[in-house]
Order: sequence, then C-alpha cells, then structure tokens
Amino acid sequence: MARCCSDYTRSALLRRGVAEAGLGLPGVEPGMPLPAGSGLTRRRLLARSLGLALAVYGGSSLRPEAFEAGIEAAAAAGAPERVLVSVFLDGGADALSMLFPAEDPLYRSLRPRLALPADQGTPFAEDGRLRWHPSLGALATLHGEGKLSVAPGMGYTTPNQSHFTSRHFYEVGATSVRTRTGWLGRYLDRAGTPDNPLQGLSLDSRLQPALATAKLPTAAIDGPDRYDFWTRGVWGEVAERMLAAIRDLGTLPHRGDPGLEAAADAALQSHRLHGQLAPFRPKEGSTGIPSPVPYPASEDAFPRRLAGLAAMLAAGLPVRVVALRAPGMYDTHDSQPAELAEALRLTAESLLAFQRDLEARGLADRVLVHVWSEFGRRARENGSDGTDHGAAGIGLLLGSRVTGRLIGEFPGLQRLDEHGNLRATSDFRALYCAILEQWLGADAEAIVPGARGFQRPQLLRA
Amino acid sequence: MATPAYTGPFGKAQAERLLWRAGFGPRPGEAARLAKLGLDEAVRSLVRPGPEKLVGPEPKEDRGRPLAPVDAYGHDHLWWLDRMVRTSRPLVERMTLVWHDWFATSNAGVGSQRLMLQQNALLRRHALGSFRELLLALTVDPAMLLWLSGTENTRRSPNENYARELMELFTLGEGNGYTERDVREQARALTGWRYTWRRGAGAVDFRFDRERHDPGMKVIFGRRGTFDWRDACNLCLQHPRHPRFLVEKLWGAFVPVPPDEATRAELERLYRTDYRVRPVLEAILRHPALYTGPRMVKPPAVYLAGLLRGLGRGVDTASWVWLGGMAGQRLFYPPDVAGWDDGRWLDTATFRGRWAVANYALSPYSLSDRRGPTVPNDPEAIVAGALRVVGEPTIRPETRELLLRFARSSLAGARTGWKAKAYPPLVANAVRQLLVTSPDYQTC
Amino acid sequence: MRALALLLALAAAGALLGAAQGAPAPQRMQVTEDEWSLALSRQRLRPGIALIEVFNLGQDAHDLVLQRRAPGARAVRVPRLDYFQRRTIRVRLAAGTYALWCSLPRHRERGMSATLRVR
Ligand SMILES: [Cu+2]
Repeated sequence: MARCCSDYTRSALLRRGVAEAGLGLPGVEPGMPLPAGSGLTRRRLLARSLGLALAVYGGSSLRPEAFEAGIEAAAAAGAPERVLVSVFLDGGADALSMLFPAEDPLYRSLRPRLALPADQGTPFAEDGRLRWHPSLGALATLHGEGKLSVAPGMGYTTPNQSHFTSRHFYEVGATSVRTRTGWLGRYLDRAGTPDNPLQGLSLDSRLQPALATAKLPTAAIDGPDRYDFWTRGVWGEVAERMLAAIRDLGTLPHRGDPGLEAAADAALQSHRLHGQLAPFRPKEGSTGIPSPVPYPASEDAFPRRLAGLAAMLAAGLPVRVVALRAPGMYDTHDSQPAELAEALRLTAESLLAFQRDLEARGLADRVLVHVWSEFGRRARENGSDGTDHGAAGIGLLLGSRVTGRLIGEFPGLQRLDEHGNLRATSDFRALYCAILEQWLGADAEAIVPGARGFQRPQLLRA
Repeated sequence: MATPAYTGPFGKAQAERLLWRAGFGPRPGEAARLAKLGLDEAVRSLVRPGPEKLVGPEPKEDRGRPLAPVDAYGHDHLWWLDRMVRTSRPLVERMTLVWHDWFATSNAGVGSQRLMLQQNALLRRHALGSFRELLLALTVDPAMLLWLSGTENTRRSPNENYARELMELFTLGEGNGYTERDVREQARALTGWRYTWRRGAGAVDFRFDRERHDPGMKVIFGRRGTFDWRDACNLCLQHPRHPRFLVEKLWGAFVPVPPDEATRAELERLYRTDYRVRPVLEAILRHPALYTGPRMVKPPAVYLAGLLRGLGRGVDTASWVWLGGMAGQRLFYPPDVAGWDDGRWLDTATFRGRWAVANYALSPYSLSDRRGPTVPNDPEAIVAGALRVVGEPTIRPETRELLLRFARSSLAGARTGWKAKAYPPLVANAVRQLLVTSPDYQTC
Repeated sequence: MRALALLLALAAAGALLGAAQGAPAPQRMQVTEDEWSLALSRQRLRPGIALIEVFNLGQDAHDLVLQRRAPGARAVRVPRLDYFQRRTIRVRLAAGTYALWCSLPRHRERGMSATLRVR
C-alpha cells in the first residue's frame, strides 16, 4: 500500500505503540530505540489543528488563535532567509547503484546479476570510476550545473543494520537510542518561536521525527491541495454556497457552551483553512498545484508536496525546516532493478523540478535540500535479485548555493568492513554540524552531541 | 442520602441527550418512546437492559460478504461498529467503549485481532459490573499482557510498564498517592506471566508461572507482604484515593463539568462498598448536571454509529475503517495507553474527517434530478426532509433558520429554467450534509 | 487513500471472480508476517474456496508461498509485500496439509513457516 493514505504504516504504528507504552511491543530487536518525538509531552502529543497547519505538535499550551497570530507575525517579519528541506529515502537506498563503479571487476563479481551495464548512465564528473544510475539523469544535470554535492560514503562508526535503529540515529543526530528529540527539532527549540508551528513543517500526515522538538510547536500537513469538502450530489454554485454555510455554522452563537463552541470553532477554522489553501488547490479542469514549471505526473504525493512547498515559500509563509519522505521503498531485498529504477527516477526528477520551480520564482538561493537514507546496502547481492542491509550509504546536498563538490570520497569495494559493507568516508553528524553552522547559522555544539570532534565539510560556495 | 435527580421536563430533547451520552443516539422514534417512560424508567431501561437483541440488517463488506473480524484487516472495527449500530443494550456497548478508552490497548502493539476481540468481549462482559473483577481480568488479559509488557516482567528482569499505568492511568491518577518505589514494588508483585510461542500460531497459552514470579517481600503503599498480581490490583482498589479517581473519571465520560462535592462524595460511597459500577452509572444518568449542563462533542465512533442508526442504515462498507482513522477514532488502535484525548475530538483535520464520514453515510440517500423522488422547490420542505432522513434530531431554532436561509438563497435564482428542476436535489443534499456537520449534531 | 481503495478493490475483485450467486461466503484466514514468524488466524480450514489475507507486520519485505504436501501439488505465491502492506488471495483448498513459508533467502529457516490443516 502506498504510504500516501495509510496512517498505519509499520513505523507509524511502532511510533505510536512503542512510544507511549514504553517497551510495549514484543521486542522486534533488543534495545530498539524509542522514536524521537514520542515523549515530548508524555501522552499529550498534541495533535491540534488550526490555521494553516493541519496538525501541530509540541508541548505548548497556547490557544489556536495564538498560533495564527504567531504565523502572521512571523510572516510579516519577513520569511526566513534560509530554508532547509530534508528528504528521506526510506528503507536504505543502494548507494552502489546510485553511483556505480562501472569498470570495477569487483563490482561485477559482487553483483553478477544486478551490476548495471558499464555503458549506461552518465559519467560522474568528479570521479572517473563512477557513473550515475540510468534513472538519475536529473541528478547528473544538477551536478553538471554545480548545484549538487555528493557524499558517496555517508555513515558512522559501528554501523547498526536495523532500519529503525539506524534511522533513529539519523533522525536524532546522534548514535544514541535514548534521545527523544530530532536534530532539527533541537535546532528549532533554540532558533524558533513559541507561536509559529510552520517553522518546522512535516509534509506528511504526521510528524517527521527529525523535527521533534522538546518545547516549541511544529506542524504536519499532508499536502496543501488536498483539503476539500467534497459532497456527493452537490456542485457548482450550490457547493460554493455550502462552503460559505460552513462558516455560518461556525459563527452561530454558542452562549458559552464549550461543546458547541468547540464544534463551531472547528467549522470556522476549517472554513478559514480551506480559504487559505485555495492558492494551492488545482484550478477547475487542471490537475496539480499551480506551478511555473512542470512536475512529474505521479500517483505518489512527493512531486505535489514539493510543488506545494515551493508555492508556500513563494507566498512568504514562515517555514524554516521541512521534512518529507521520497517516493518508493528503498528496502530492495528483491526485485531491486525495476523498483529502484522507478523510485530513483521519480525522486530525482521531482527534485530537479523543485529546483527549477525555485529558480523560476527567484527563491533558489534561499533553499538547501538534504537527501539521506538510514544506510546503504550490502556490496554483495543476495540470491533474490536484491541486496540486504548495509552500512555506508549516500547523502546529497542540493541547491544553488552548494559547492557541488564531493563530501568524502567513494569508499571503493577493495576495503569492505567485516560484514561486507561499504565503509563510511564521511559522518552524518559532521554534515549536520556543517549544515547547522554554515547554512542555518546555528551553534552546532549545542545541538549535535560531540560536535567538537567532527571535521566539517565546506558546503557552500564562497 | 442520595445524589440529586433531574426533576425538569423529560421530553424528546432530554431523551435524545440521554441516548447519545449513554449510547449511540436514537433510532427514528426512539427518543419520543423513551421520553414517555419518564426519567426513572428511561435510565432503568439503559442500566438494566435485559438480554441483547441485534436489530437491523446483518453487517457486510462492500461485496456483500459477511464480516471476518479475526481474519481480515479492518473487520474488527466494522464488527464493533455494527454492534454499536444494532445493539438493544446501548449503555453496555457505550461502556465497552469507555473501558476501551480507559484501559487503552492498541493492536499496533498486540498484533492480533483475535486477542483484541477477546479483550473486547471481556470489557463487554464487565461493562456494567464490578470494576474489581474488570481490573483483575484485564491485568492478565493476553492483549494487555502483550501491550504493556506483562509477559516480559519477570523476577530476573522486572518491567515496570504495567505497574506504572495500573496506578497512573487505571486506578489512581498521575502521581496521586504513590511513589516511584511503589511502581518498582508493584512491578515485582506483577511478575510471573508468560506465554508459549507456537510456530504458525504466535503467542498462545498465557499463564502464571511460579518460576518467573518474585515471591519475596514487597512494600507497597506502606504495607508489607509477599504480594502477587491479585494483591497488586487489590491494593490499588483499597487505596484511599482510588474511589475519587474512579468516580471522577467515570463521571467525565458522561458529563463535561466536574461533579459538585456532595455528588462526588455520594458517588464514592455508592462505589466503595463493592466496586459496582452500575449504581454509580445510574446516579450519573439521573443527575441534573447531565440534562442542564453544557453539551459534549460526540466521539467519532459514536457520531457515526448514531448517524447510521438515525438513517436506518447498517454497516455495509469497509470504508468506515479508514474514515474512522480520518475522523480520529480507529477502534482497537487508540493513539497510546492514555487513550483518546476526549477533550480534543475536533480540529481542522478531524472536522474534515467527519465531513467525509457524513458524506459517505448520506451517499446512498443522495438525491438527483434524474432518478428518485422529485424534490420540491421549497426551502421549508427541503429542511424538513433533511431532518426526517436522519431521524428527526432536535436542533436549535437558529440552526434551522440558518439551513433555511441557505436553502432559500440557493434556490432564489432557480425559480425557472433548467435550474428549477436541477437545483432542489443539490440543495437538499447540501442541507443534509450541513445538518449533520452542524455544531448541534456534532454535540449532544 | 486512492491506493488503499485500489488495494481493497483488487482484493474484492479477486474474490468476485468465482463468487456464484447465493453461494456460501468463502472462509477466511489472515496470515501475519514478522521477523521471524508467520501467525495464522486459524489453524484449520475446510476444503473449498478460501480468502487468505497476508499482512506484513515486520520491518522487512516478505512474500508467501502456500503448497499442499502432496506430490505434484502446485504452489500458490503471494508476491513480496513491503512492511504494513497486505494482500488478499483467493485459493481453492483440497483436503490435506499445507505448508506456508516466506521464500526470501533464509527467511524460512529463521522461522517464517507454518502448517495449515484442511479437512
Ligand atoms: Cu520473509
């Protein structure tokens, strides 16, 4: 089932189940970490919705109006200079396919069935050994324009090969199972304001754990174009009048009755939200969010979420950090060739469209996109046209301001670790420190544990 | 000495509120019939309902097949929703929902619809009975043992998960009369439960195993003893702060403002003798605060079940599963062990969820100018028709006036031409939708 | 939502194919998958048509094979499901003993197997 619809993905279930029950699940694996964001305010993961955001998370006791005022105030003060967008390749993307060592005989012997033909894809300009996966032409284009920096061996020491554990490390920015706040959440706790939930935006139906704060509010919105009040057998001007009547229901006097007040408020706020999201809804007879550039057509929400984000940034909404998941399932234990090709193509082409959209809107200098996955995959293929969980994976930084230069080198197949996995040549925490300091202008030492010990890469053009 | 009883007029509106608070709303005509009984008899019919009869069409999924509650995803939700719609014992079903929220167990952690439904049967069995029996049964219920680590709690490595929630959420309230040491000691008392893992079947044969139990001396709430799981429960029940916690929480499920001192003391007295819930419920349902106090937002499952009862429609689609989630209440999947946040059912996301629920519920009755009965080009008749189709709920005059205004203005430009025939059904569909999403119908 | 509806529609369509008018409802069973186990919602079914829902509750992808223990018996395969995916298949069961397992490498050996009796 595609992730767009179900609230009940396994990880979401675990996040809800394990989260509040302490160790309530029969252990899938010992020491499985508590997900970030689950214990912010114990049992009161505030899922209040209001104003522009569908769901607001964070331990705040503010009334909805305060958030709306906060959003308006933050927007009036000018949109944040710089925005970070975090894109998650869920399941452990195969770095060795995304950039493959075409001529390496070891590659052919480790991957007798999966190795990509040596004449396919585009050569990778910075390292003659490597070529881009044939589905990643869009990334090759961006790299050619100097708008993409690649970390071909992103990871950490003593890699963990559990999806949940390794993903948790990346989300919290530390190799600790007990940490309950996300690395971007901790940034927001220092740099954000108590009344602007849009500062941390999950483009998903629920909170992305990297954005889990300890105290300040963040928001989740599934997609600004999907907020409709469709009713069977009602259309045209009657439907328009019906929408107005929702507002009227919300303004009926409640005479201090809190039940009536809650129901009326919900109607009123829903009507207002519907109006606020109008610019992001497809016009009659068209599909997709109005954008200056075309996005890939897909059932998956990813391209329209990015298109919606660009539109929201163009509208001056006070968004600082954003997190969302890329399309596809990267946990390719079998049928890897077809599934990976499809997922990579849609992801890369959507990201290219997003960059072009930002360029067309004059916003490109303000946005940095970070693409990550919880690990790479085993160098040696398995027996079912797939690969198993590995260690070092790939990281990408995308935007008009990046250096476009390698972050760490390609680790190569000659020196695999004791499990037959790629060794890390850059540390995700070092990258986080660099993003915090160089892009967001924050104090990394206050956010990433042990920050002092990490060698920062240079991310931005001088 | 007794709790006060409501002495005002007991008409259709009061009976409606009682049926929504203590059940899932009236079927057409049911509120008027209940009103005729008078308050005492009406309440008695709810707290002593006699054997269950299921009234209405058998539930089915979209292709007309019967439900498979333990064998198909989502059918657990549909199965219970059907009980809510068809039951002749609404308070029993409503209390089952109250206990599900109270001892909130999620299949997200249990992973077995069969065990969840077993727990559901247990909640129903004790729905109006003894809280003591309920607590004892639930403490060693397989789904609960899996959900709160009861089977991982052994003498060698005690797990405090259940011990903490037993006091914090189930019997005493957060930090109310116990210490961290009590949590640890309670966990020791609760040790000893295990299951057998059988290939192909999962966890089976949940049982007490003396070898895993810590038989040593414990000190709980200042009392010393070689306590076991029964003692753990009984000590909580005997705790002086327990009766107040229980009656306030139970009261809160039916009345949105706290009870006055005298009422609370009397409810505690009713409860304390033998932990029976029925007399407490009876007193709450007769209390003036229920009839004269402010309105409550209907929980999403109650809202839908009541809408279907009013429409006379059975459970006939699996869409209620995802729609339940969208409206904020997927049965058997409470958000966490503290249950649903009953003070916050409505926000912009769940309002839209309820809108979708209403739309799906009304869909089979949707009117068109091409088929079905002709809809009169008459605002009064359209509003009256909308009220009739959902079972004549009582709404405030200003809400009725608003619906009328909407119908009038929508039909104003449709006196002649193609609109004269095309618009009335559109307006009628919209009025129905607005009626059941109005603050009046969202609350009771 | 659309994908969910599609999935439900597929499952339902699969079952509709052979559903004769007035025929008794097919028996049903759920197989939940996890690392490393299969759990059947019932241990025994009757011969005839059955709807079997396979539901992956694990972290990894899994598939499912169902085969009667008899010479030449044909295996029924449910293709790989990612976590929290599910799929319903419609099968005609003959009396006998069926083996169920996940056919991804080493998954069966690690415990993802079960037995179903049909009689
Ligand atoms: Cu498997």
